[in-house]
Amino acid sequence: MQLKAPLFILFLIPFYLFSQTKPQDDDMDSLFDDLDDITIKENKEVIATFKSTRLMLGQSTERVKANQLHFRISHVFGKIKGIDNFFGLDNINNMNISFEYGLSDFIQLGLARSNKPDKTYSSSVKLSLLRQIYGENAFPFSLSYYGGLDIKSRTYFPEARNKNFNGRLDYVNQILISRKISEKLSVQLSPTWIHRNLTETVNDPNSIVSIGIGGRYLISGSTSINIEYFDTLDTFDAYELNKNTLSVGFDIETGGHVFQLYFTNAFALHPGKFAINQSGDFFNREINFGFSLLREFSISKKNKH
Amino acid sequence: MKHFPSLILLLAFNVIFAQDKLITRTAKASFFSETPVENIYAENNQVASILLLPKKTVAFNVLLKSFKFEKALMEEHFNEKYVDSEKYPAAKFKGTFNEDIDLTKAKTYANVEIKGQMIFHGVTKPLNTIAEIIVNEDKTVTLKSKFPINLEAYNIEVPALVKDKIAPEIEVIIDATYK
Repeated sequence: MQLKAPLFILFLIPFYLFSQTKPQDDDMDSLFDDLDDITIKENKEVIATFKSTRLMLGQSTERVKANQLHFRISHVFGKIKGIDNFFGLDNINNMNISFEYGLSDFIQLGLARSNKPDKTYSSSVKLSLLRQIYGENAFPFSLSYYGGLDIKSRTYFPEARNKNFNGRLDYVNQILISRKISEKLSVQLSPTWIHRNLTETVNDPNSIVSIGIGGRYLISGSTSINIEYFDTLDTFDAYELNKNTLSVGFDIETGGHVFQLYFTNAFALHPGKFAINQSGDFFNREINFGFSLLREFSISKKNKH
Repeated sequence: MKHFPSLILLLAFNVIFAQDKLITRTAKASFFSETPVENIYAENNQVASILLLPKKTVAFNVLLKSFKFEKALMEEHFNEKYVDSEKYPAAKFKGTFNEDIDLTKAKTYANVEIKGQMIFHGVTKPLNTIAEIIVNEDKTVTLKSKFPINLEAYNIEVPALVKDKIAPEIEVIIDATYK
């Protein structure tokens, strides 16, 4: 018995020390270490790869989050040539109105209308399949799928063409792969496949594949320079290198709005048109000015204050 | 066996000590920025906090990415442009107070002065605030406090374009219940 009691005490000493060290430690860091251990970890998804859900004319991997609604109006004006038409601003080549809604953080649904040239109604879905992640379990890129169905509602001649509903449909399929390389620099690759049920002439191919490449560079917290090029694959007779779509411009973000200003040889603002080698000739100064204005609305009921 | 009483004392002390380290991982932090143009409100329900009653010390760890905003774009801008949460993931605070908090009796201690240091956006600054500490009937402890944070003091720049939408001083509300 005389031996056991001191042994027992010896046994307790580490126990005692252990429970004492942490509270007794005055070091600020150790308390913060304890706090770090109990903190529920945050989401490590890379955010703000681009300022907007459009890189320029084409979709970016940015998404409309759950219960948010994006309303966007885009314009592209006429050719910047001479004061007669006030450098193209007298003519509107195309106006596009779109609504995009976030069903969840990973599913975005959209409806849009472009006036010229085909009075096109578009419905779309964008699925955010993979997100770039930083930190311990890093993942190098984001990947989204964008699919669209365009319905051309204009009047066609002859009557038979006008009645051919299937002939009014175009399909858009895009894989969007992006990487935020640094705080300022992000790049994107967008392989695109457009299928048109009926083309304007028999020589035009129904299916056209193009590769969108682009990126952005932040020049200040609120402004970035963006560039986007859709390189249509040279698989058909009517292919002209000069008519691939090149867009260069700015994103300017002011709180709930994002403005995009661009110079482009495209005359249409929906991918079913600008990604199929039908833009102006950018080597012949057929360049247009355009802009888009995005406003975000929150449909969610929680967090109202 | 003559050591036995002291042994029991030692053990009992240990147990009491352990109970006096109160923790929570679901404390609430919210902030409010009010301007004539726009009101911005955000809430974080995943704040970790430790309350050490014997040391009269309280500490908070607030992960900035866990703040939820009404508008998703605002949340993104908050993290990307203002607090730079990838670089500075958390706001941390540690402070001390003078009151003796008795856990055995339900009681409200109003006007507890907490003096401490706040680390936020890579800047460490003294922060003093008044808190209310409540010992609840169910032996839980609630701490509530409200204090302003000056954005400029923590090197948070508000671009000229949105100056009229974001208040230079935002009000932070802390509401933590410890077990």
